[in-house]
Amino acid sequence: MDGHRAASLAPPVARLIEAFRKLPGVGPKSAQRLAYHLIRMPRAEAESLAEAILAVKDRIVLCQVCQNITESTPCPICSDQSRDRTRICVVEEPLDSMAIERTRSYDGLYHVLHGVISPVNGIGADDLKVRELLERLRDESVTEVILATNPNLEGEATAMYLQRLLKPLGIAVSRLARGLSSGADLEYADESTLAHALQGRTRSADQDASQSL
Amino acid sequence: MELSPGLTIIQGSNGQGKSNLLEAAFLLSVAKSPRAGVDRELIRWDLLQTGGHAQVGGFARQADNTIHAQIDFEVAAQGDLQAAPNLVRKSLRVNGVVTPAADFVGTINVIAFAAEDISLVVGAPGERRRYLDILISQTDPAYLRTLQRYGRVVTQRNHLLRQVRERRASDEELEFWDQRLAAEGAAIVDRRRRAVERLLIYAVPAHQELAGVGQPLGVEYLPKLDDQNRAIQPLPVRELADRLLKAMRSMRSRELGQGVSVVGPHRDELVITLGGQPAGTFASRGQARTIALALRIAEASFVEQATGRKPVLALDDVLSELDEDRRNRVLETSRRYDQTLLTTTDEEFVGEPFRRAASHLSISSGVVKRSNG
Repeated sequence: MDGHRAASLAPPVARLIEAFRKLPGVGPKSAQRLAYHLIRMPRAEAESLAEAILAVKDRIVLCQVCQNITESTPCPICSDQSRDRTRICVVEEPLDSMAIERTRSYDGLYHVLHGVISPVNGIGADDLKVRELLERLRDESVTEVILATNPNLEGEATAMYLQRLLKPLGIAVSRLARGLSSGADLEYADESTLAHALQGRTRSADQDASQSL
Repeated sequence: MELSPGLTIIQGSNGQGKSNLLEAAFLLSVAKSPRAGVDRELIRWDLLQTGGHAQVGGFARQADNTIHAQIDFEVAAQGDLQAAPNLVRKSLRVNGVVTPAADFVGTINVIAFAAEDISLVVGAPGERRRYLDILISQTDPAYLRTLQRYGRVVTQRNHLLRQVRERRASDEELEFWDQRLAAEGAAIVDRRRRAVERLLIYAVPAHQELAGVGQPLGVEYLPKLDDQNRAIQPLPVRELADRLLKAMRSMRSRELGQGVSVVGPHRDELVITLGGQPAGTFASRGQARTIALALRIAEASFVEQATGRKPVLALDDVLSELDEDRRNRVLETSRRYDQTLLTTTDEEFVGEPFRRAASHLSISSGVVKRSNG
């Protein structure tokens, strides 16, 4: 059994496995697989991996405007004058802004909260980059804030908090639509997704635009 | 190991692993053990020490197809407890495909009868809520999903209540969680009310058949929509949500003081009565046992009616507690189903005609052998 081996491991290997186990999404099996892979890896490759890890710790900073992770602040997106500066899309994590960038259908700015309201984890609005967002809304000519937090409980709690907070500012606040994923089968959609898709249905007046099969 | 249709009698002395076999069948139905509260109690003690992997799998043949259900437990070694707060990770598969719990539960339907079922009558309200929740989840995947979301809402809200009390969060932040508790809670209350209504249709005659004429069984659902558990008339879900919301607002200071959510279906009660008297306090042990048995038989009928499939019955050492007449009635009931697994220390508990028609297994030190009864 795997466990018996772990008990008699050489300490450096055990330490490495332990370190991998702490990473998100890595279970005991994967941690061992990764560790043994590293042991067999050429030294040069291992060095470049170690260096890459240190580089993100040493060279990455938060953009002073949008709070995204970047090598130079303001980040390339915030400094890009060709982007639509009237819109800010609020996301939970840096990866979420990357996901929206990949759609190529948004050319506004971002704001990264670095988390989400979760009382269980002791995370409230004060622990997020909310003050920084309010600061930006004072200076800039922003007319719309798009709340793109995840459609789960904590994401919704955060979105609702921000909605209430932004209301008095007179800025249009929108929320990402929730519904079916493209290529999905209705039959396999769970009832809450389907209910949201129904509630958020759109009129087929602009059908021509979407009929591009 | 292949199990035959009809009645299978699994005979063995105490501690030989009879119950484990039934527990495995139940686990493949509900993804939870009938008795253990926590997954780790299902895992062998030495495996918890060293870490490793445990698996339960089984095939179920239904009218037109065969279903393969499998549960894998990934156990972290005790050594790296800090690294793994979840000591046991469970993954569920149907026909090899990883499946969320809500869709896994109810793929195979097993109704488990156990000696401990008496706690349905004499135990805490939580036992009866669990009974009701398993019953509904077996027939409605949406219900289990709602229940899971509701559980998260209550946990988050309780933390927030304490933070507001300690002035680490503002009162206004509760609004969102109040809304969610009301919405998810109302859906649960509505579903439970309808389930109990239907359950009664089966439970009352099942009880009468077992107990003979005498004091009739009553089952009453008392949701906690305000400061007290009260019976309700059928109400639209929206109205249930409004009542929950109103209650949370009027009881805010009490909730803040206690630091817990005091209204909602996590405080619901299911009251069982015998001749109009609460059975938990008034019923004798024998009467309580009969009621528990009737509730299980009603559960089987409920599941059959809702899914259109006959569930498998798993009777874990229940016969020894009953008199001969009731033993025969239980066995008679089992004939209405396609498959029944029954454990007993002594085959004598199974009446002669049932024994003759049954398949026989004997189990000793965890090893199962076919025997000829």
